[in-house]
Amino acid sequence: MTGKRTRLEAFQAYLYLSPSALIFLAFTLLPAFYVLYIGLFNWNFLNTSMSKFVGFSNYTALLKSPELWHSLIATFYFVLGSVPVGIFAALFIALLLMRPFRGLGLVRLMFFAPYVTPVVSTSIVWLWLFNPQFGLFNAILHFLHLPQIGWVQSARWAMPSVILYTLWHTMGFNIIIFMAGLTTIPSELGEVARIDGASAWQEFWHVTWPLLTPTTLFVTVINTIGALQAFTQFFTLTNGGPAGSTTTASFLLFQQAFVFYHTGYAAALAVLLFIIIAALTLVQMRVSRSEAY
Amino acid sequence: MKINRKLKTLSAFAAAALALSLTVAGCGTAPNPGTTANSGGPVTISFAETMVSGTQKSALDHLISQFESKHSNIKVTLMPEPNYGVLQQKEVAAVAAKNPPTIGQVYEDWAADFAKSGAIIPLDSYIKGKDGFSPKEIADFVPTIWKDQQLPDGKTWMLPFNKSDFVMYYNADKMKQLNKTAPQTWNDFATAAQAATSGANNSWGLTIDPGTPTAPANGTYLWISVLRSNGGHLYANGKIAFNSAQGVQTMQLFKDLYSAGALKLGSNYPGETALGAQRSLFDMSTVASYPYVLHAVNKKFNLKIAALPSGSAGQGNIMQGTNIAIFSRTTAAQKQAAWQFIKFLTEPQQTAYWAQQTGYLPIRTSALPLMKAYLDSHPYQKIAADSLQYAKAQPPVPGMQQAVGYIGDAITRVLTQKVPVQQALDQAASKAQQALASAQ
Amino acid sequence: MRHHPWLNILRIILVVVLALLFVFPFYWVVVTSLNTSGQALQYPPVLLPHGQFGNYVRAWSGAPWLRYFGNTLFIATVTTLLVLLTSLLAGFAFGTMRFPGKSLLFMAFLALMMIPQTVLLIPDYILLQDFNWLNTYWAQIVPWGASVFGIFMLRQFFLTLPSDYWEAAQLDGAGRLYFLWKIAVPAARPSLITIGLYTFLGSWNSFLWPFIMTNSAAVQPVEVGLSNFLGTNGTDWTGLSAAVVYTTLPVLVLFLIAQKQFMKGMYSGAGGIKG
Repeated sequence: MTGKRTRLEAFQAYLYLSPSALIFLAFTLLPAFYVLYIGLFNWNFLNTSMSKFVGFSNYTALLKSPELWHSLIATFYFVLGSVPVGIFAALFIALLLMRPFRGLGLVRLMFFAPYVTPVVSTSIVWLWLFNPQFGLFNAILHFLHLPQIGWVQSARWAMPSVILYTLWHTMGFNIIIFMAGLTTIPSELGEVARIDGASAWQEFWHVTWPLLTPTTLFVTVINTIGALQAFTQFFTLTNGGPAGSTTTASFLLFQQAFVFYHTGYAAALAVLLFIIIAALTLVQMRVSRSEAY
Repeated sequence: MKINRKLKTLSAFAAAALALSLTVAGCGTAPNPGTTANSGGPVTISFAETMVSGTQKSALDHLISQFESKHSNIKVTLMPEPNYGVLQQKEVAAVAAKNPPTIGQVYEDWAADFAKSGAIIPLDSYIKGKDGFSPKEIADFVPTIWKDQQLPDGKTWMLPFNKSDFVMYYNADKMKQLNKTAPQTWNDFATAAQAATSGANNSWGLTIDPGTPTAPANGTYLWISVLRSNGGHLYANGKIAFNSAQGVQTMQLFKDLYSAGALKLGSNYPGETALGAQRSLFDMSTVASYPYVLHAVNKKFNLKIAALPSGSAGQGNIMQGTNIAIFSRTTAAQKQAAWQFIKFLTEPQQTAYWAQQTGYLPIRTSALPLMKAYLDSHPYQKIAADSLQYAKAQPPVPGMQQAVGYIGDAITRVLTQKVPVQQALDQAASKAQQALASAQ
Repeated sequence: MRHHPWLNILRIILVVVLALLFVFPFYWVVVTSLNTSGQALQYPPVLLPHGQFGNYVRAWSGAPWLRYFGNTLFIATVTTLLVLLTSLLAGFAFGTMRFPGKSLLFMAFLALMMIPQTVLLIPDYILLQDFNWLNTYWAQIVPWGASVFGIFMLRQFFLTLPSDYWEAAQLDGAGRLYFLWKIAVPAARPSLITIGLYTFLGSWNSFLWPFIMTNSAAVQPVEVGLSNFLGTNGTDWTGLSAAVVYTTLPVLVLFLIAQKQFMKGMYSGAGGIKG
């Protein structure tokens, strides 16, 4: 009786899991293996039957090509330029927001609003702000008698410009997560510290920051993965240019796969990108765990 | 192939299970009308195109209804796409899905790609057939345009549709103030552009968008035009050739103008914006962008148009716009009907009408007398039509679009990163050559 | 020393200035959308709007926006409903039922989160092509119809549900699905709203996927439509700004209406970090 019942329960459970499982199977798990397979071919996009098995030569071509290394440099420039700054700025603003005042809710909304807006729409706004001849940013520089810069039109400033946009767009998310993290820190600890005569900085450094580690880790991982996969702002603001200066690995993948139709080569790049993302995530988790305990 | 099939079967199974378990309203696939026609009755042909707005759309609709009234058994349905990038994706995807339209607009290098995979058909047998072109008619096509329809294999794969080339737009009031006339040579151009440059007035000569390999832009096409006027080639004897002495000469012109502040870089058709805002003296765009330039200028000053200046070897220009090709996975009746339709579009009456409505150029010499009144009131059209004899399209080689994109990178690197001219061109040429090799 | 009132005032001023900087781009796009193109290109810049509503009319007539909005609304709504359904069922199974391989399966689901979308773009494109799903609503809905985040959240919720809930229902002779629908769903409403909001927003804001998988306005969402519009009207900054305003507005309005739930979702999401 009970055996039958557990069997029925198990059957029902599998039935309930099946919709999600089928979707993941069809569009995540099997494709993840499929991309490995495609990477072994000189894949003919127009006529799949004309694809040729080439073993690992897509990978060797990829590792030998300077464009891969340029794109990895661009990727790390973007990650290092946007993630740490984004995290510390967000933490700073979150700390400023921790003691309530009238209008706090509104201010919080103002910081958070960019995060909910679609990237294409808001990057068009920034494209206009960045416009080297007619944009507001250069008008301000001109007004301040500072040298004007090319923003997204200059190989030197294009990446900082995209980083600036990205910081603006994701800051709200980080602020809210930090605020959530800060509210979980028991205030008695801070008071004890203060009774001991600790300064605000000492209190932050010895009490708040260590207790905030899980939050910081979470934000770091989410931001890093997001930055490694960022595409839309590059597509709208720079198209990977000028002179390839903003062709990150994700953008290169799009370009090779869907502009040049080098499908097999791009699949190899996808596998490499996956390895990088997975490795970075694991390293970050490992590092912070050893710090936390 | 075994794993492939297994994975696909598994995924297909999973997806089929999903499709069965979900009945979401309105999630059907729109059937492609191109493949549903049968051989007996009326024939439907589908046309993948980008003439989706303004007079381009109304003129095409008009020509189609004219054609259909002459050929009551043929129906033409349009498959409109917003721009060429999307059109190409759509055509590529449709070919890959073995469900192509009957005909589609194609650039020369797309056609080369399609021809290589057997996705489009050569038209020589139709041209020579009883419903084809007489030698006299062939001679009536603008020679550079007729030549543009052939791929390096010597076969004719396309018929011309919406062709244009580059012209020079300029602010005539400002030109007068500077005591200058429309430049005849690139040296004159450089002098005028530098004369227009003033920090105090915040004005300069020209703004270009060099583009990227993902999306080559007008700055690159201008560069190619100048290269040709200096006697250089993009591609010669089966190899990339733009890193020649003429290439260096061309790049030097851009570099000197940029260093003098007379040339600036932008994106999203920056030349039109800057000319319209009375900041720059010139804009170099195709004749087809005339309505956009006109909108940007908005009657603030006297806009004039001239042919591109000439270089040390004469005039040079790049032919823009597309041709039409017939896809191979269509019925014989559809191919025959498609041939009749694309031939109809090239006839003098129709091309004259098309040119007057849209600003694209007439592709037949005998169309010019038919549109005399129009050319008198739109002199710029005559200028652009005359320039066609110097205009060559991008060489029809797979991967050429990507290859050309590296010129844009070279322009940016020389201008903004102080990379030596020869070095930047050599590097771009080697990347371009690689792009051609990997597209073969 | 943090209690000095002037320090507090300084803090508030700093916060307000920063917040104003954050919303300034929104102000600027509205200003540009309401000026003539002459004013938009002028130096010194015109900092106030001048009521040029013609820009909106011109931009609106420049593309099939109604179609784009309809597509986005349909795709986002159906995706959200699908995610809620699949997450409820799976979260319920993981949270309340006993079956072999449960923890293994759950770990497998979580591990799926590690596979980034960018990596799946190529194989999914080829698969969708083989199913003849490219350029359909299907391609934009079904692959996003299950959410690890949703399953995780609902599992957590069902784990906290006291077991006498379910036992009482069993005494009543209620079947599992009946229990799920009549008792568990109402109780799980806050979680469902959070999941629904984030799914809806994610679907509404998605770009790369529909950009690659579709190519006709008949099924394309607003963001892809806007990107096409940028390609064809790149010189018309005032019209473009108008288009940005009306494509961004729906999301901002939804956000303002549901801000409490959004924030709560973020807090509970962050709460999951612990441990």
